[in-house]
Amino acid sequence: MTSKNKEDYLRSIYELQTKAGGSVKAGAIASKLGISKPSVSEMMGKLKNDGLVESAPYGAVSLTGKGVEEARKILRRHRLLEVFFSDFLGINAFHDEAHETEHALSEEAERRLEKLLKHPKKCPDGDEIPRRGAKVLPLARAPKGKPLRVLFSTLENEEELASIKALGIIHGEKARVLKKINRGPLILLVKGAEIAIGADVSSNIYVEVGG
Amino acid sequence: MSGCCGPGSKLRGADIVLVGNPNVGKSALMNQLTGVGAFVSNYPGTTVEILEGDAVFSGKRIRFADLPGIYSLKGLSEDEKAALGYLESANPRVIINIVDSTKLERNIFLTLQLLGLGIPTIVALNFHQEATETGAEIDGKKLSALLGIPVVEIDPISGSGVGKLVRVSSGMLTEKKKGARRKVGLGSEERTHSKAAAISSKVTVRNGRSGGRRYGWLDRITGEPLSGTIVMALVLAALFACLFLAGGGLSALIGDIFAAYAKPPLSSFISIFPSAVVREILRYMLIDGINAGLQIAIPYVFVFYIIIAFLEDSGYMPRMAFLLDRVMHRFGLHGKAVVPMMLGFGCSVPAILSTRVLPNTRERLLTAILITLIPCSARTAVILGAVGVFVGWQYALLIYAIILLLVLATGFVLGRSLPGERLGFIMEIPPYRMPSAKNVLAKTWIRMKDFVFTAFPLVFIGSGVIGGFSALGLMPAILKPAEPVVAGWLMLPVVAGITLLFGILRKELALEMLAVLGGSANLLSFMTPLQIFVFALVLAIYVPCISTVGVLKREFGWKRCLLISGSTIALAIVIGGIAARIMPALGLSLN
Repeated sequence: MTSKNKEDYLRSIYELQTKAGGSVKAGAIASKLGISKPSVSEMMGKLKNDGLVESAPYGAVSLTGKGVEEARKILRRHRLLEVFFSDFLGINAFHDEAHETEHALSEEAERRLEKLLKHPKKCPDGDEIPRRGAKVLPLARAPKGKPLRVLFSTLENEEELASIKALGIIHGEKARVLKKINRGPLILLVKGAEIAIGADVSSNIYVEVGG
Repeated sequence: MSGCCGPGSKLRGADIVLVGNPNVGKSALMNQLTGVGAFVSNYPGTTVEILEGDAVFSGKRIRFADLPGIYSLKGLSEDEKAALGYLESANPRVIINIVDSTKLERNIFLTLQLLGLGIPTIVALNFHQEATETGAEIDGKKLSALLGIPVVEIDPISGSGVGKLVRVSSGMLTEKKKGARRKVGLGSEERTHSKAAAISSKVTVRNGRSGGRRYGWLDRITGEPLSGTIVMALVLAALFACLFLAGGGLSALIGDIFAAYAKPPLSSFISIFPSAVVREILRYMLIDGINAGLQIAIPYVFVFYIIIAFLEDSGYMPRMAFLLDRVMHRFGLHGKAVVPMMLGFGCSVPAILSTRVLPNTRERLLTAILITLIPCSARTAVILGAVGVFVGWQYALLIYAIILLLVLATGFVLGRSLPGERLGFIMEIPPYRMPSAKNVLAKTWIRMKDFVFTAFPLVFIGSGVIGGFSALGLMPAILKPAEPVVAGWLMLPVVAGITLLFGILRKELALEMLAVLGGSANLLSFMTPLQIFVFALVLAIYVPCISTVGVLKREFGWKRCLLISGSTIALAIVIGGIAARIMPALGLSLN
C-alpha cells in the first residue's frame, strides 16, 4: 500500500462525508475511486489500524478526529494545486494534475504556493479550501461565542440527519454557539435562527473553529 | 359541506393550504381567515393534526387547511411526511407559503421546494416590521420577481395585508396546476440551500438600523442555566397557583350554578320515569356525569389550556425544553417531553393528547405512561382531602414522594427497555413575542372542543353503567371477587372497594362516595389512618380515569391502552399492600 493510495482514500471519505452527511458506505467509496469493493474493505482495515477511520453500523465508516485532520491536510494541498494549475497555468485538466502532484508537495512548498496564489479561499470548482490552523472538533465541544463553520455530521439516524439538513446545518454553513448547558444541550445560531441541539446530536456534528 | 366537525372526520382536500416553517404565524393567519370555526382532524393513519376551516369570500366558500409547521418537504418526521402526503394527494389548488422575514434564507429553502410541486403558490411575508427593525429589510417586489410568484406582506395579528392575500390567492384558484416541474426528492438540499441564500441576499436591503432582537433581556435570563431554572420554578409555581385558584374557583362556581339551575329541572325530568332502575341510571348520567364534566374538565382543563397557549405563543416552552433536556435524558426522553408531563399535573387527558408534539411513537408512549402516574388535579384533591386532612400533611407529602419515586423508576426502567429508536433533541428556539389574546383564546377553544369530544362521552356512558349496576344491586356481586384483594391484601374496608371502582369515573368522586357509604364525612370514624393512607395511595396510582383510558386507546390502540391500564392497577395493588405492611413500622398506627 502506498501512502499516495491512502491519501486518496482519506480525501474521498472526507468529501463524501461532507457532501452527504452521516457515515460513508464502502460502496460509495468504491464508486468514487473506481475500484472494487473488496479492495475498499481491505484498505478500511488498514485505516482502522492506523486510527484514521472507525466503524459505523451497516459496514460503513466515518473518519476519526485524526482522520479528519489528515484528510483536510491532503484536501488543502489538492485544492491549492487545483487553483495553481487552473488559474496560474491555465490547464483544463487541473484536477488530474493536482491529483498526481499533491502527494509529493512538501509543507514548505505548500506554504509558498499559498502565498503565491494570494491565499485563495475556494478551489476552481467552488469548494472551500480547508484553512491552515483551523481546529476541527465536535460541536458539543465547540467554544461559546466563537464563529464556527459546519463541516459534516456523523449522525446515523436518517431522521436526525434530515432535520439538521433542513435547518441549514450543512457543510460550509457559518454558525455560533450562543448558550450551552454543561454536558447538556446547546443553542446554535445558524441561518439567523436559534436551534437547540441535544448533546447526543451535537457530538456528532463536526465544526471548524478559527484558522 | 362542513356538517361534521368532530375529531377524526374524514379529510377532504382544501382549496387553499397554508404551509410554512414552525413559528411563522401560520395559526394566527388561519385564525384571521377562518375564525373559531376551524376544526382539527388527523392526517389519516397518524397523529398529525391538520386544522381546517371555511371562509366566505365574495360569495364563494373557500376551505383553508393549516398544515403542521415544517422546515423541508424532504424531512422524515411524521409532520413533514404528512405535510408532503397532503400536498401530493389531497390536491390543494393554491399554496399560501408563510415566510418569516427575519429568517428569510431558511424560509425560502422551503419555498423553493414547494415551487417544485407545480401547485400555484403565493408567498405571505410575515414579521416584516421586525426584520426592518433589526436592519434587514426585505424587498417584496424583488422577491416576487426572483421567485416568479406573487408576494404579499401581511401581519396576521393586526390583519393588515390579509385581505389582499385572500384576494390574490382566491384569484389563483382558477389557475391550472402546472405539472410538477421536478419531483421532490431530486435536487440536493445543498443546491436548494445555496439558491435560497443567493435569493435572500439579493432581496435583503441593509437599512443601517441595528435594533437587537425584541425581549433580548428576557432571552438572556431564561436561557442561562441558573437564572433560567429560577424563572422556570417561578413560572411553574404561578401556573399551579393559577390552576388551583382560578380552576378551583371556577369549579366551585360552576358547581353552585349547576346545583341551583340545572339540577332541579334535571331531577324533575328524571322523576318522570316510573322505573327506579332507569331513574338511577339517568341520575348517574345526567346529574353526576354532567356535573363531573362541568366541574373538573371545564374549569381545570380550560384554565390550563389558556395558560399553556399563552406560554406557547410567547415562545417560553422551547426554553423550558432546552433547560430540562439533560435531566430528561436520564429517562430516555428529551426536552420536548417536558411540556406534556407538566400538563399531567392538571389533567391526564390533555397531557396525553399533547404528546403528539413528540417525534416518534416510542417517546409518545413512554411520556404517556409517565403522565398516567403523575398526580392530576383530581388525585391531588383526594390526597389532600383524605390524607392531608385526616392523617397529616407529612403523610400527604409522603404519598407525593412515593409517586415521584415511581415516576422516576418507571422512566428509568422503560427509558432503557422500551424498543424503538431514541431521537436526539433538535428544536428551534423562536424569539419571544407578545401573545395575542385572540389567538390564545382561539387555540384554547379548538383544543377544548377536541377534549370535550374525547372525554365527555366516556364519563357520560361510564356513569350510566355504574349507575345501572348500583341500581340493580349488582355492586356486591361485582366486588365479591375483589374482596380478597381489598380486604385481605390491602386491608381496607369492603366499601372502599366500591369507591375505588367509582374512582374510574373521576378520582375525587371516590372520596365523596367513601363518605356517603361510610356514613360519615369524618373518615376516621370508620377507617384507621393507615387505611386512609393506603386508600389514597392506591387511588392515586391505579389507572387514572375512564377519560384517560379513552384517550390512551385513541392515541395508542386497545392493546397498549389495556396494558398500561392493567399495569397501573397491578402497581397500585402491589404498592398499596406493601405500604399497608410497612407503614406501621414507620409509626402509622392501625387503629
